[in-house]
Amino acid sequence: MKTLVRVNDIVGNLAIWISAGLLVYIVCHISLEIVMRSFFSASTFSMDEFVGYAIGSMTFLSLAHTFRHRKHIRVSILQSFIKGRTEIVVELLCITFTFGITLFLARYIWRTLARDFSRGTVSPTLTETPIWLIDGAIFIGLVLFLLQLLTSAWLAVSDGVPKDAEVE
Amino acid sequence: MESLFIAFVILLLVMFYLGLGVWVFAGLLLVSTTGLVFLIDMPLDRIGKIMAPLMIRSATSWEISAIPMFIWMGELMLRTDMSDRLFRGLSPLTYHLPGRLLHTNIVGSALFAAISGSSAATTATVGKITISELSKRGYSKSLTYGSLAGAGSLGLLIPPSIVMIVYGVLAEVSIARLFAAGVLPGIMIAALYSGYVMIVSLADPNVAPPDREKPGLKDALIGFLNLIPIALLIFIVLGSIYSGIATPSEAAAVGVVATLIMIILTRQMTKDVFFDTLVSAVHTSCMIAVILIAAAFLSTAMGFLHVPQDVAKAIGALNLSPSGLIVILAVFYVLLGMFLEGISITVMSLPITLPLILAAGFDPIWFGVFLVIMVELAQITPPIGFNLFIIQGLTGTPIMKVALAAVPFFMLMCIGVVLLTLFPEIALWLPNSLFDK
Repeated sequence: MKTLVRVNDIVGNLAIWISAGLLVYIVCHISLEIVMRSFFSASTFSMDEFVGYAIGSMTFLSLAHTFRHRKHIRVSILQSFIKGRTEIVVELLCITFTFGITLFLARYIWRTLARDFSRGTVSPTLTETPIWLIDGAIFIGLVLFLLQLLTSAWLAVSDGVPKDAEVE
Repeated sequence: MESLFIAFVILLLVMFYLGLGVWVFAGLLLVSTTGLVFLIDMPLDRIGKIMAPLMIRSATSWEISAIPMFIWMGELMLRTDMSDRLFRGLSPLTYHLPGRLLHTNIVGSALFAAISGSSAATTATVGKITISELSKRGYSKSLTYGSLAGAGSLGLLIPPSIVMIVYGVLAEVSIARLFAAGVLPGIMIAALYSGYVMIVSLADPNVAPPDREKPGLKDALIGFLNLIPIALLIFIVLGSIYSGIATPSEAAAVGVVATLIMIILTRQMTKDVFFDTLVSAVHTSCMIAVILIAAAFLSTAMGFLHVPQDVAKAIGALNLSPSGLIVILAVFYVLLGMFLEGISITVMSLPITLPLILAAGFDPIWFGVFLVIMVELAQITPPIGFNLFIIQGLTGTPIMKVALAAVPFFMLMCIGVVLLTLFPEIALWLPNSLFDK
């Protein structure tokens, strides 16, 4: 189980830095577009498309790390009334529900990814970007999230339920 | 009868999953899937085939790119001396008003709201400095906490605003118009707060005791200088939108670049500031974006279940006047606001309320402003009120005490809603003047 926690930490950290890099990329691409449009009457002809891909990939790749830092919001009225074993049982129940729906989604994203890859589907734009790239980033994000849920379930049992992060 | 039953079951599912503490994004997906399976016997395979492409499409929507950038901008300002400059700039200017430095909470929040899209960032940034300064000078704690809780929520109304972007994306209305529509209602509510503080201070001068040294003209001039960076950012962000250089989504990138340059020029940029703010912005925007993506599926599921159409029919059968509908919706939103936060309220309610509002003849831009004020109210209503949590975190005061301090400001915001309903031009005049109808 310790190996699972370590692997989860490494891949989660890698994914959050890729996500952070994507945010920097989004700022750079939009700035470039504004400069090109305002001063050179030109365009990258790909801003909406690539920024969209980046935002989707960033969201899913950071899902696990955001969960690990307890930043996903929930209504925690019940959690404020329960303690000890009951709290762990409720936490495991929440994780199980979340795991189930994520696994379901991941299965169908995988199907879409496999289909887009085998057909060589590309975006209907000038760039003709292979669609499986974005499907793949979303799928990887979901797999990392499933791994994080397993780790969090294990840690809830072994170390207790951590507190949710305060709003920043 | 069947439609009411379906709406009731959906409500029970929401209460079950969210009440249990399932994270909001997963809860929305679970409510949608369970509802489709048990209420209309939709096969799981079909649900999966609808869900996957819909989620990919929602996730890659370019409009939501403004959210992480405005959040990053807020994070950058939160961790530099921006809030300190705001207080130093405003205190000599507000000192001579009844209520003195209590106005720094209100004017500071309104100004900070004009460069930050988030209520949480506004409350935390302004509160971080004003709470300790006002407490040191012996100002009324209740008025300090209350005015900060109320004014901090202006971050959502005064543009740029993350909730407005969310509303604009979901309701398919112009975000630039929404931003313009939020300006006057934001100033109106800030004026109501300042007016209240003045009246209370005139009735009881002890709530705002005078300083030993009164600030003079020189202090006021230095104050102005301290406000220059924030004024410059407001000018750059809003100016880029309304001069046509950038769209609202692009303006977020302009804001981030301007803030980064300003932080570098004032020699506050460190490796920690850059990377910590970046990761924190990714966390917060992931939390918001994934809820938006899940909400897109909930909206589709509601369509399959005919909930919006049937609820609209049921409410239509009540033959309510437009004002009656608004009163019912206001009560509905205040109740929702007690248990949910802003983004969740917006995404969960819109599939039902927007068709009703449009059918009743309301302007969707006006309704966007109305909804944002409702979300602001949600920020200061216990047991779940983010601004209350932040002030609790900053001061260690129990949440119910902070909530009690915020009651007068809650009532003032309600007066603001009444004024907005009676005089829709408060919201619509500016967008109609700036853009063609």
